[in-house]
Amino acid sequence: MRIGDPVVQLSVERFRLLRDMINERYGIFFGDDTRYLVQSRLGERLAHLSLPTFEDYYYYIRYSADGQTELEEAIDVLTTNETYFFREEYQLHSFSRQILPELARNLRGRRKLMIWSAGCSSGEEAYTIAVLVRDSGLFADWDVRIFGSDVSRRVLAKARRGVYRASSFRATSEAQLTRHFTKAGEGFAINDDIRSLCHFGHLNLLDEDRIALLGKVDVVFCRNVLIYFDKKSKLRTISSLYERLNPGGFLLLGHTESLLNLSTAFELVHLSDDLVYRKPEVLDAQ
Amino acid sequence: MDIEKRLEAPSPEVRRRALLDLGPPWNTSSADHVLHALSDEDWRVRKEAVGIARQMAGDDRVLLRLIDLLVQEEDIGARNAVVEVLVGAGPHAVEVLMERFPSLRPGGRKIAIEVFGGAGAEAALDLLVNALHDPDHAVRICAAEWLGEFSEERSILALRGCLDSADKMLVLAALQSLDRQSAAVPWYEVESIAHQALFGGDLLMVLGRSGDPRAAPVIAQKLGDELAAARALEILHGASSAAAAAVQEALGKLEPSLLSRLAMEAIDFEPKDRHAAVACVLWSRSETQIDTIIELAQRESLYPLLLSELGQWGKPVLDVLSEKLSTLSGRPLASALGLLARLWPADIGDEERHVLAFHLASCDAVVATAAAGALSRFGDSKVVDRLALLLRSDNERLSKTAGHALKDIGRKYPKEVHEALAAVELEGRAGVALCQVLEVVGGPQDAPRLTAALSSPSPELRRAVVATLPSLGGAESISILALAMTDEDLGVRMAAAASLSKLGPAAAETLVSALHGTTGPLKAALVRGLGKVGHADAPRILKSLLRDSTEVALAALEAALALGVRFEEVADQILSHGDPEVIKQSLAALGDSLSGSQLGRLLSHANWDVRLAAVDGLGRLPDKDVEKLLSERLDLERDDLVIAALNKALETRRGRRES
Ligand SMILES: C[S@@+](CC[C@H](N)C(=O)[O-])C[C@H]1O[C@@H](n2cnc3c(N)ncnc32)[C@H](O)[C@@H]1O
Repeated sequence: MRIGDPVVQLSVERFRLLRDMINERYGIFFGDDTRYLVQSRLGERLAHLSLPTFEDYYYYIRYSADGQTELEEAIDVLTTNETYFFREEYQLHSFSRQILPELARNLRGRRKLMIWSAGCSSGEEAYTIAVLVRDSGLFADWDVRIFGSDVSRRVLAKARRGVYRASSFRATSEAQLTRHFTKAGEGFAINDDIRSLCHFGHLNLLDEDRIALLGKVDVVFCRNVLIYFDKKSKLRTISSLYERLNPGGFLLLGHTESLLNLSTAFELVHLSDDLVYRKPEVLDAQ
Repeated sequence: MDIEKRLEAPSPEVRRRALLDLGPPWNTSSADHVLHALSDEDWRVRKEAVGIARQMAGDDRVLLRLIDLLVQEEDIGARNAVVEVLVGAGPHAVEVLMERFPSLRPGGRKIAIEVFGGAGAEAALDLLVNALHDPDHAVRICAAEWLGEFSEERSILALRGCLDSADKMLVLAALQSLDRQSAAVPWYEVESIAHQALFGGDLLMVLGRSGDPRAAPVIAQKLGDELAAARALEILHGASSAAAAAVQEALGKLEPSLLSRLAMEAIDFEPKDRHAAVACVLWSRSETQIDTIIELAQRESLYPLLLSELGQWGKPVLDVLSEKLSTLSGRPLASALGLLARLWPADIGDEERHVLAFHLASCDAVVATAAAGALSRFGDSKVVDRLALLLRSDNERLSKTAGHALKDIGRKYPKEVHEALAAVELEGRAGVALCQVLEVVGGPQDAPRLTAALSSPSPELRRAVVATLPSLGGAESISILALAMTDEDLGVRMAAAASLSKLGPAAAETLVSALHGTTGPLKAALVRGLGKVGHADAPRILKSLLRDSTEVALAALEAALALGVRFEEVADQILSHGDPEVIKQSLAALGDSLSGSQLGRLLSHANWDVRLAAVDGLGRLPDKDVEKLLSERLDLERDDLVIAALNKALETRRGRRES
């Protein structure tokens, strides 16, 4: 859309229909106060498809053969993908100092570590985890797999490319940057030894059945994703994250998020710098 | 406006429509109008008139007037129109025309022959044969020309009889007709005219078909100026071994420059002529043609011919080709190498191997590619490092060919090839080629490397990796393939589905999980995979998919049957699928195992094609009550195709019962 083009209005009713559809499929919930935001972000999709009104757009998604694809496009423009390397440093500190050593001890029998960055956005989180695992020096010759998943294909492509600009490095130390990145054009590319630990895939967190493809994991990072969900979707997601974790496995949420009122299945673990959740080692025999 | 006026109207379209309004039924004056319209200046009006006149020609009066017109008409367009009417007017018209033939003047006789020939009227064959002796020259020639349309022995013999005529035009027409019939004429009948330049290509073809060795030098002499000579020689070569030997001898005596010119010109010929011309060059077995042959070897399409013929030259050609190598470069060098690589016996010596290794190092990618291609057959551990280096070439063909060669060498020297690959990075095109080699020489130790490459932004590389994983035999591949099933690229997911299908029951659960939220070809691939790997729960899952989309339902049926599910268990579900195609394909595959009542239910299916298939299936059942089902349906059926099928099925059954 260009400046000066008349703005196509998203009525309250249409907004609710669209919002509920998105919520039902992806868990993300748009409050009433976000109507103008949604209107302006989806405006470009309407223009792209040459659809005159949001009503047409709604029907296009619902009933046309390309509806599913378009819904994914809509998600691509609507989601907040904000992320950067070494985000929430104190938590990562606990992860390196306490969680990783404990896992190294507990899992030394099978020498296999699987970590899931659920809602990985453009990959900074997954690569950060890989750097921490590598730098810990505890897992040489282990089968280490860090799996980043997201519902947006656009961010996944960026994650695979592994080349980042300055804004991704706002919390990255000079030392880390030189050790794990190489200058590439205007940005920096993640080095191959780190990249090789990471996998990426397209997953909707509400798609419990497909999530089963991951097998069991030892740690889940699900940070700054659930904040956009409504309660019902949070509950569903938490329970499938629980399902994926090995007993004794950890769940790391963003610092503004908690399982309060959501789940009592996890136990709260107090680490020196942070609180994290953990799937109990042995389930109560009932 | 009345019809008469419209028939004279200035607009051809008005005249044409007026013709249509004349009838049927027609009266005498309509016949006048139609016959008149046969000479209309506009072809559309003439065309319409031809159609109507054909129908009218059933009336003898009209027919006779047409014949009169045939003789009188001066205007060519009108005359052709009359011929067209008569050609299509049926056997009666031919009969009447034959009766009138003797009384016609020469011009009329000639046109009558055209009608007989055009109509392919066998009844007139004797008349045509006799017309070869017509007092009028033009009639004789015309008869010889049209006899070429009749493949009867009589006609061929009559044409052969013309070959010793003093009338050169008649001989030429007869030769053309004999050629059109691909007729074999014995040498003694053509010997006397064999050297006459006048007769050109037709004579050469007839000479070739004589199959006589003596024809070889005669035809070969004409190679320089007649295109047909090469094909005539090809025919002669195939006639007998004596003829083949004569052809080779004759070609061997020709001026070398003539042959090479022929071969080079042949490139622009039609495929048939090209093949013949190149064959002639090869049959000459002349070493002077080697350069030409190397040049020709740059064409894919000529390769099979070159190889089969050169193979028969034996060792001399190998020596000449090998000697040539040092004087060549670029494409010719590459094609010479390619030829040698295919002609050499499997047990070549060090010297030949050295030649290949030497050219593998060429900085010309075309040459290196040819050498790499040859090494697929002759390579050993000494060249694997160099080939591994070439995997990384910017030249796509070279990189691919090197990959193929390594794969082939890898079957004999897996360890050496594997070692050489250690230095190649799993990136880009080289990575894809590398994966393909690893399929042969790789082992579980390669799994981590390959797995790491799955983070690559290149979907081609990820696809290649996923395709290679099962052949490595590592226990981990299932969980990696499971992750790959979440790949954004459909191609990667398809490859992962195919790979999982190779991994046995352990992969079943992953295949099942991957089914969720999947549609289309990928889902069908997963379903087929499930049929392959098997799993305790698979039959239940497959049954639940029998009403899925067409491709998935069919895949589920196939898989369920592969797992030993009996068709009766799934028949009801699959036969009530919404897509008639699913029903028909299941019937085609399994119709015989269906019961009469199952098929009977399909007799009232909404789609006629399904009903038709059901009738077909029922017709083959031995049950007694089938007849009742069929005749009941016959009373209700509206579709003519199905009715016909029902009647036929009932008839066959009744017939069978009576006998
Ligand atoms: C703000 S980013 C968080 C990135 C990273 N975890 C961090 O903390 O920096 C949220 C991501 O969650 C993804 N997301 C939202 N809904 C999702 C869903 N239903 N399934 C998977 N990913 C989802 C969005 O596409 C977005 O990339």
